[in-house]
Amino acid sequence: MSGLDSSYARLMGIRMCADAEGREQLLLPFGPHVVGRPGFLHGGAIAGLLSLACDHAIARGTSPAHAEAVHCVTSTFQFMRAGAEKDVRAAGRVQFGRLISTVQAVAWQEMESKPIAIVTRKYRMESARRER
Amino acid sequence: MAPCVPEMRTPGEMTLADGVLITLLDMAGTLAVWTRLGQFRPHATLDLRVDHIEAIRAGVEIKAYAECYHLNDQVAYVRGHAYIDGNATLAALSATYAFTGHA
Repeated sequence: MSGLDSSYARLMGIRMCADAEGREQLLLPFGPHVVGRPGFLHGGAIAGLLSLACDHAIARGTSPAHAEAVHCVTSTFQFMRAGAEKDVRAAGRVQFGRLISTVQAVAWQEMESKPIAIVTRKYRMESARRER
Repeated sequence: MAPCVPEMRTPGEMTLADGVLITLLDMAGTLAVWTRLGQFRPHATLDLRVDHIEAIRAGVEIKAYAECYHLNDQVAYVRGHAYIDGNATLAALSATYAFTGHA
């Protein structure tokens, strides 16, 4: 898993911010490094942000000792709107399971209710490994 | 092909950031569509599914291969994988792309 302290997050400029109610969000500031086809964001940049949002969400609910053994097994991205040349925000939500946890994250620009992309990622948990 | 640069590493775990893997696979899928078409035509990723088969160590160069196995006027269907030369598949890709205009 990657964290916000990773070199990838730094390379992309992804950082933590909070909304008006203090909820955690990840922010990907717009720049030429995230442009795909001219005038639009690259899907890979949006997917990178969403992956970090999921990794961050699951790391928040996992003890540091276990976090290292948690790893993502599948990612399913759906792109709903073209990403405009603007900042993107993302937030993830976890449903913890004993063997597998599911994380869903949303990326948006204008408002959270109009997502540009969503992802579902499945993570294998440390407890599953130890019980085998 | 993704050359390994330090920025793409995750410190501590020393694995490749997923964002890099997914960007590479998405790009390979796009190139597969253009290759099958024989021309550039703008399109947008609709769905992209990645199976993370093996953790990817930082410091190794990974490659991606994708094929567009079907397309029509609106949508292109792609599958592919990421690998290290001479080694097993690291991640598998299944993606669809929607054309957004004509060449």
